[in-house]
Amino acid sequence: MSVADILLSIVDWLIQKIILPVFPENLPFFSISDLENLLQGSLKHNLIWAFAGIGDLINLKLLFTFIGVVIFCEVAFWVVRAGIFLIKIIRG
Amino acid sequence: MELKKRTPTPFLKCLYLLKFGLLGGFLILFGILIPFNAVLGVENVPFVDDFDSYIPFEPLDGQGGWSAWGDVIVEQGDFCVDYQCAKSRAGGIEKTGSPVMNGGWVWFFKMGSIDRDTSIYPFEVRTYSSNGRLAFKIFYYNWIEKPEFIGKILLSNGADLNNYQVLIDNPEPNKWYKIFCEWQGNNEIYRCRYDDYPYSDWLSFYNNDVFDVSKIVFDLYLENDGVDEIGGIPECSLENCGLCETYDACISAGCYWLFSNYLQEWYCATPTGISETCGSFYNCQFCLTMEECEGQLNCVWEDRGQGEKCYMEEVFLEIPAWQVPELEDCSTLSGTEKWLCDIKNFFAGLFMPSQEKVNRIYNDLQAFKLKFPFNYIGILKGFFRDIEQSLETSKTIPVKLLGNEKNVDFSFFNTITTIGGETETFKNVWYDFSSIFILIGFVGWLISFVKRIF
Repeated sequence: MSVADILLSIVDWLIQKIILPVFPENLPFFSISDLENLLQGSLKHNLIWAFAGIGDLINLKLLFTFIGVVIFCEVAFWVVRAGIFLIKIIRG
Repeated sequence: MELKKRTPTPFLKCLYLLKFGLLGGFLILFGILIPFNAVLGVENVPFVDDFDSYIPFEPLDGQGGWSAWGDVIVEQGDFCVDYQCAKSRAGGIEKTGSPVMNGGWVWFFKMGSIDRDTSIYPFEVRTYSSNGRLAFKIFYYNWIEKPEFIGKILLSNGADLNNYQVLIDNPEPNKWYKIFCEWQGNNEIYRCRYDDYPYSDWLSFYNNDVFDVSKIVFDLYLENDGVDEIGGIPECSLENCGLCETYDACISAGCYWLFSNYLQEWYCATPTGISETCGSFYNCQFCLTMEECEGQLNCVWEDRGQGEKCYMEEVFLEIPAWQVPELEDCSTLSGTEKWLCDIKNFFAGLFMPSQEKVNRIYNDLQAFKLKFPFNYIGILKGFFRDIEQSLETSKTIPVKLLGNEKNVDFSFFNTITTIGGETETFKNVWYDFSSIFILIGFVGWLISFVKRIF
């Protein structure tokens, strides 16, 4: 067993026993399978069926990239504001 | 590819979206609220029991045909999966039913603790045949003979511990696990799975003179171990699409055979308000001929191991694997060069991880994809990617005026013009302008976002 193996064993143990158990798999009231059923079911079908062909007219890659950036930034901004709000409450 | 079906008006599309959205929401809500007993099958199982009819807070021994030892009571309330269950402070329970050669059981169990020292007999579930011989067992391993199994819930594969398989890699205390086990007495094999995870391989019975299953024994040796909702495995049906394992079974049940980009595997999904007629996307599977199939959007006619059928076109993602580089081959060298090569390999070998360790770390990192929030983000990313890729398929738009039906003529998009000496189609010009509009919209949002921060 090499030095790298020993180090990787420690990392593996930390991930398996300490880090991974902290993360839940499902949110209460809205499990991952519910989300997948919702998105992969009628919603995706109808969206694609209704807007097929629009990719020729609009740069969808650009559009989805910007939508992704907007969603990420807005959520991050909301999380930071919520954190600051909580800190203010705790500090009085 | 062109759509041959009539395209609904935008108003109708909105109505369809609203209708399917409401229906999908209702189905999900209904799925959450549906009573567990209603979906339990009762075929091919020695007995079913939900503990709900027993006297609460009294010993289970003697109630409903159960034999119990130690301290096992009928618990009621939040501790249980549903209404009442068996709860132990130290003991065990067993019950015998009718022998079943080929069948399946499902039950819920939880362990009150996983800090079990080696002096205490661990949590164990055993099934016996009508001749009193052990068929198979599931148990929490906490002995020292096999350190690699410690802390895991195992499945027996014959009587040899070396052949046991891991069912639950990292069981958590005070968490209800749903276990499914199927057996084939005529082949002397069984297999199990838990929650929504796939089945194990088919494993050998513990003893080779077992041909049926009739009794189940739960050893519950620590406080707050619990058992609930023992029943037959529901069969593949419209209500239990997730249990259909093959394309044919899935389609026969009226479900949808889909590929999950997230799990990278095929699965059978519950339909959400789509009619069972040949059509595009999820309705591809209802197209019975190649002509019908290829006339639909996103449908492909191909053989995926079950004969030629119509499938929805899906994107397969390649999962990269990490390969450990090999050390330099010194065998072809000689003299000083070989020594230097060997010395270099020695030091490189010290810091060279084995492929097994690298695979473990890789799997560890992959495991994060199954945890919140990465699993939710992954599904959303897959959803947007699918839409983005699928929307790039062109289609015609039929219009009906005064009884005459025509397709909208989009030929003007291909009209060529010259801009700055370069020949461009109107489609490309429009495409570039739309990109600029998107960019301007994004810059507008960015300015407002920065203003909100400062």
